[in-house]
Amino acid sequence: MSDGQAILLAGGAALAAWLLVAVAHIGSLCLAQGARRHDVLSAAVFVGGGVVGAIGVWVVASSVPAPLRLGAVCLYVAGLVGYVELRSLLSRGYSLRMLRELRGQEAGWSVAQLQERYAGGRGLPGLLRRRLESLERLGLLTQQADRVGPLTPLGRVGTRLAAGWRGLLRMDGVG
Amino acid sequence: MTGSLLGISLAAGVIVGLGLHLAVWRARPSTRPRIRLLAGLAALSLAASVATYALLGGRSGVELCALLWIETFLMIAYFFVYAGVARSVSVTILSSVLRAPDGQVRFAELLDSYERSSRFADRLALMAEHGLVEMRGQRVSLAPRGAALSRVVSLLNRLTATELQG
Repeated sequence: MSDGQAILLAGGAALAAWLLVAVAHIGSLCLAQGARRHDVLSAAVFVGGGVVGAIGVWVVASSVPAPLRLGAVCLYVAGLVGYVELRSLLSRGYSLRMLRELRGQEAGWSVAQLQERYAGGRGLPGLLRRRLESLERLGLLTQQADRVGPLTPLGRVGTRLAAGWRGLLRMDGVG
Repeated sequence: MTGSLLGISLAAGVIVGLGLHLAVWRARPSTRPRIRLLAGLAALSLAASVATYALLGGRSGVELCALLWIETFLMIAYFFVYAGVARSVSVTILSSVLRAPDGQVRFAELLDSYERSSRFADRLALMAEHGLVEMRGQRVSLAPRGAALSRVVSLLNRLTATELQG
C-alpha cells in the first residue's frame, strides 16, 4: 500500500465512523422526541456509538502503519469533541439566544428589557436555574430549597481546575 | 525512533502553542474570548511541530500526517476546555459556590451577582463590535448580519435536533 492510499484509508475510516455516529445520534434524538428519559438515551447512543466507532476505525486501519492508525483514531475523537461542542453551542449559546430574542423586534429593546425577556421571558433566573439543574444532574453540586451547594468532591476538583486555569489566563469577570 | 521523533515534534508544538497562549493572555488580560487569536496560535503550534519534525530528519508523509492528526485532536480538545474556561456560566456558578465560606450560596445572591456584573452588557458590546447587533444608547436591535446568523442557527438547530435554550 502506498503512503497516499494508507492516508486515504485511515482518514476515510475516521470520517466515515464520525459521520455514522453523528447521524445515529441525531436520528435517535428525532425518534425519541418527547420520550421521558430521552437525555439518557441520547447519552447512551453517543457514548456507545463513540466506542464502537473508535474500535471500527482501529480495525479498518489495521493495515496502515501504527502512528497513522493512532492518528486516525485521534482524528475521529476530535470530530466527536467538535460535534459535542457544536451541540453545546446550539443549545446553550447565551449570545445566540440574545439574537433569537431580538428577531422580529424592529425597534429593538432596551438592555434591561432584553435581560428580562431573555429565553422566552424566563430571564436570567431561568438561565441560572437551567445551569444548576444540569450541574446537579452531572453530580457536580447539590441543592436544597433556595440554597445552592455544597459542591460534590468531583465538583470541587473540576471547579478548582477550571477556576485555576481561568485565573492563570487572567480571565476575571467572564462566563 | 519513529515514536520518539513524533513525540518530540508533538511536544515542541504543544509547548510553543501553550507557552505563547499563556504569555499573551497573561500580558494582555481581557474578558473577550479572543478565539481568532487562539486559532492563530494553534496554527503556529502546528507549524512548530512540522518544523521540528523536518529539522530532526523526518521525511515520511505518513508520519507527518499522523503528527498533524494527533495535534489536531489536542487542539480541538483544548478549544473545548477553553470554551468552558472563557465563557461558561456553569463554571462561574461553581466558582461562586466554591468560594462561599460555608460552601453554600443563596440562589438570590447568585442571581444578584450576575445582574450586578457587566457580563450581559459585555456580550452585547462584543456582538455590536462584530456587527451582529446595533446599539443606540441603551437600545439594542438586530443588525442584518445578526439576523442572518440567527437564521443559520435556527437551520442548524433543526438539522441537529437541538433546541436553543440559552
